Amino acid sequence: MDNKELALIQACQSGNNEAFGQLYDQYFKKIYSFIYYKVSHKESAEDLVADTFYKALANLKKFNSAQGNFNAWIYRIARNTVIDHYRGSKDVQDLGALPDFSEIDSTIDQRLSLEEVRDKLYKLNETQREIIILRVWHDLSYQEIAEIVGKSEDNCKMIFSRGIKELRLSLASLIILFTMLIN
Amino acid sequence: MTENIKIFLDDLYAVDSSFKKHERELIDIIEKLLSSKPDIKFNKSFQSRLRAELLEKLAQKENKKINFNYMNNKLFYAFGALALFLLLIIPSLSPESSFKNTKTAKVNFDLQVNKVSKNAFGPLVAQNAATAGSEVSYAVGRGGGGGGVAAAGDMAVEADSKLIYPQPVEYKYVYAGEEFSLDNAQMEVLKKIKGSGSQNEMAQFLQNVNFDNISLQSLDDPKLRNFTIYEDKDFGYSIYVDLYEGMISINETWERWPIYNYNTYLEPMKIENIPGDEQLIGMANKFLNDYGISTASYGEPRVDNSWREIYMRTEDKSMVYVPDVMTIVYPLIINGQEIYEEWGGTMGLRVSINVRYNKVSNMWNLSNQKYQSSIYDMETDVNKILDLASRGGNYYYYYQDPSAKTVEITLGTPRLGYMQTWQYTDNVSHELLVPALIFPVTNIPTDAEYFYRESVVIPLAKEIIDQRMQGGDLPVQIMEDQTVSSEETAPAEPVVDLPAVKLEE
Repeated sequence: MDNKELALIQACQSGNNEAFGQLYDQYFKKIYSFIYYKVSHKESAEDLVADTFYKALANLKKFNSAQGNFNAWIYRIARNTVIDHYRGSKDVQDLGALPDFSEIDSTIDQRLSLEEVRDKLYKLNETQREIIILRVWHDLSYQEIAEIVGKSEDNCKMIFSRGIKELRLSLASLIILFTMLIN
Repeated sequence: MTENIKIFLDDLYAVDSSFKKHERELIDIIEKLLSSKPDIKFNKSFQSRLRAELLEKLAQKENKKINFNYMNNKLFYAFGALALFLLLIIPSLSPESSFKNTKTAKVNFDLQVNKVSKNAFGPLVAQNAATAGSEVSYAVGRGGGGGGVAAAGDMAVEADSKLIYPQPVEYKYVYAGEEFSLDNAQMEVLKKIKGSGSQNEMAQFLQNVNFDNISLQSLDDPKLRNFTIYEDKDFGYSIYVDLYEGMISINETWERWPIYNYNTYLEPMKIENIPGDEQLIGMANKFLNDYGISTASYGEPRVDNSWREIYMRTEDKSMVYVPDVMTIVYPLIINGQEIYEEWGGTMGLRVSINVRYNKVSNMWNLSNQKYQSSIYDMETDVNKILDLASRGGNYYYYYQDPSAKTVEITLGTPRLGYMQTWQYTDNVSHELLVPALIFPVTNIPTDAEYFYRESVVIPLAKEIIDQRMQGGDLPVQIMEDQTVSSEETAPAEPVVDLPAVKLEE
């Protein structure tokens, strides 16, 4: 957490509304994307983003920068909000769910790449997928991911590396298959 | 190799040094993952609205910081006098269990409409609005349309991967109502007048207050914008008064309601535990009566049962979240007509009941009813209106997934009403009520499990219609092998061709 963000949090905790506005601006897209990746539905994503920020607002006073990272804290609220959203429906809960790519604005080339990546990520288990997405797409540190998902930092690193290993193997088999087809 | 990729690799090598043998492949995978990060688009009006709501919530909380024990006597007396003054201007909010009304007079904001000249509010749509694109931003209200491609409720499960992946849905609105015509080429648009008219007196009162180090006299033209009075007890309430907007709300004192204890896990509610509508409305009526709030300006209350309708349509009931807060809506009536949000929800006084505790948790949207009215040009072309209605009121471009499931939503004969919309000028938002046609949703197929809209609202103001037609006479179909430009795509045909019949007001 940088000093500017810390100052914003402290200002916000002291009742500076504009500081909260700045924090909101800083985190809106990240949290929206994070939630959208999980629910793939615009209206649901909006509801859950609103819930997340309301919860953040209600609990901001309790946030202690000495004990945790704000980035991880607000992601954790978002993640728990999504869990609450799905609670009672264990069969469909998938915290590492991938977005509905059809709703995402992207070029055709990028879409192809998205499809390819999605296919590979499908092969991973839910935890691996969630940690890879948090690490790569959200650019979160292992320490932050550990706080968000409630696992140790080392465990997160291990899960990430296993996920990457599986991706590599599936890519390798794809290349072999492709080579065989060509020949 | 970028620094970022190097960090990923170092982390991987630290866990398992055998990764080094496959560095080239790993770089390729990581690069692919990085470049494939989806760029999620979001609705900017939603972002702005949520920001404004959060800041308002924060403003409500501000007064909770004041600890009277630590204030000097002057300030204590000043705020004591202020509270007394407030109790005079809001007689119904005098304390019993702190707040309950003990008097017969009720808070009632009488409707006042002052006519002003034609087109007095200026353009109804923002001047810098884009004429095309996915985010046409102009003076439109909440919601921003919606529809388009959504995720289906019947979450398809891929057999090979066991991943839960929702099938996209395309909603198609089919008009099945009676023929009608639009005969009024000009109608009144209403603009809400901000404030209650009492903030100047309050500010004058406060200007006489001196603190040791802070003098309010040093402020130029200070105005009291809002304040909160709260009960510091379990299940207590706070009363928030926004003098600037002229609104009052009653909310739970959030620190003292167990539901806000974020560390407490609460079991989901079961549908059999939810009280019936009559009981809920009875509780809401009693609350309003206890707090001396008149419902004279409002229509018959109704419970927002959108969740229940979704529940009934959904085969797997475990998929549906049964809310623990039920909302009762008292629809606001102006000139005999109801007011709607752009997304089709009814505007009005709202009372929420937390059914875990069978207690009213919130009351909001009690506001002054002072308006100016000005004549504006209205659309009289029924086909344009029906075209917009057939798109669910959408006016922006959106991607249509060719594999999306199409679900037909049936619309009935429209009625006249007002649509709430916002006009932004000089960083200030003004609430406008624009004449609109309200197309009720009369049939939702059972396979549209997660769809809920009461109605499709189409504003009649010509300016707004023109801009919507300009910005949204597609949808654009993005195919893998081609892109369709707006010139290549004809506007959608109206669903029905109607001879002129006057619409009943």
